[in-house]
Amino acid sequence: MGDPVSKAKTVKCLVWDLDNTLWDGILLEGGGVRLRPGVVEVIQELDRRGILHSIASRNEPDDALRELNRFGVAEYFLVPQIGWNNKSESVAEIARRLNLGLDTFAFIDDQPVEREEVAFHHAEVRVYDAGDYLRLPDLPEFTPKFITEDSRLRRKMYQDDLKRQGEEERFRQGLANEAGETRDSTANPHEAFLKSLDLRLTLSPVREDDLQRAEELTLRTNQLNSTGVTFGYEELRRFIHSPKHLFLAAELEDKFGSYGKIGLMLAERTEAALHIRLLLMSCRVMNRGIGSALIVHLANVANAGGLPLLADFVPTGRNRIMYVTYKMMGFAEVSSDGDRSVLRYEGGLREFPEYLNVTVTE
Amino acid sequence: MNEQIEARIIEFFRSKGRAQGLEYDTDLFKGGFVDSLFAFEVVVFLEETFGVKIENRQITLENFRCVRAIADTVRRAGGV
Repeated sequence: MGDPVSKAKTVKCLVWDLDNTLWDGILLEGGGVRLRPGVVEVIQELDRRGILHSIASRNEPDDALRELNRFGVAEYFLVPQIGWNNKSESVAEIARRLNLGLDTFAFIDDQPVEREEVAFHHAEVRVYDAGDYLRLPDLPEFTPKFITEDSRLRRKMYQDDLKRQGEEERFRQGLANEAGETRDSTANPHEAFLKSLDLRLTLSPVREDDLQRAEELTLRTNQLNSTGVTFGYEELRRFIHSPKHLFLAAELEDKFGSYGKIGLMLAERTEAALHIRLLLMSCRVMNRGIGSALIVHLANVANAGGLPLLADFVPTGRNRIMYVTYKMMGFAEVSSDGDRSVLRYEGGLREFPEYLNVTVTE
Repeated sequence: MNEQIEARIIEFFRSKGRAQGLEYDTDLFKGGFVDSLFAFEVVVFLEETFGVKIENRQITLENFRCVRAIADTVRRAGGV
């Protein structure tokens, strides 16, 4: 421990070049290509750890995809960028499509000029020489602290998300969806899209089994963390057993599949109030009204106990969206001490959003 | 009264597919035009488009109740 590298952000997506990186040979030159020895094992191991893979290659897309299918590895690569763009543009496009920050990206290529081009435009992307592919799994930045059920399913979750994005795009353009459901002419397309997803949210107390995922969520989430606080495993464990705390995990599913555990909230029961210390959710569910639903639940719990609902907010430079969420849900700022604000809920009883089916378990 | 800011805001809602039946005085929350995430997008849009800083204390339900209230907020923040 104490090694500064191990404190660096874990890589969330590794972008591969193809010719002389993923495979030996140059596809366009003919003569055939073959996967580099051990490369499939590297891909599978990182995939198991929840690290996504993509491609930035200058090639004929159809030919390259045919080879990837022939090798049986196409399924591992999300939103592959195969064409004639600069690789820096391809990497940026992948980050945009996956909604991930470039500081969680890594890029591997045999050509120094390509690595430099990516590094020049995106200093935060970590670049590797193709010759190093076998040692990637040994590097700290490719070694997440925990490997949870959600890590193992991450690729499938992102693939499901890409299907959702396709569907949302159809709604945005006002096209009927495949199921032929009629659109409610009064609803905006986004809400119509949400209704069509058949969203099911389950709120349940955090259990011992959830702790690794809970810690992973606090470490991975920046934008959607109301106080920027990250708790360690042992601290989180303490909250499970604390009678003074309400510590809930949120799990979301829709017709495409499960998003997994995507939100956490920690509220403390003081004598005077129910006080939200932490509210966070995965950026994958931004746009689904989950933050609002969690707040509605807590407002109703507080109301049932005859207590006011308070919430801490600490700006992190990236979480202003959480402040806006609280304000738009009917909170007002009641005190501000340096960076930390306390907000109080001033609305009444609330209902969950119409498009969200919520189950609360004990 | 110059309603240029109102018009730009409506244009923004339209670009997001949320302008159907939207008037300057339509209640944005009752009509389902705005949820909290979209409200955040509106704040960012206002700051970038009109070169103003929307302070925390200005982020209130009342200031985002309808297009005209949002435009008034921009004007109070010094936007033209």
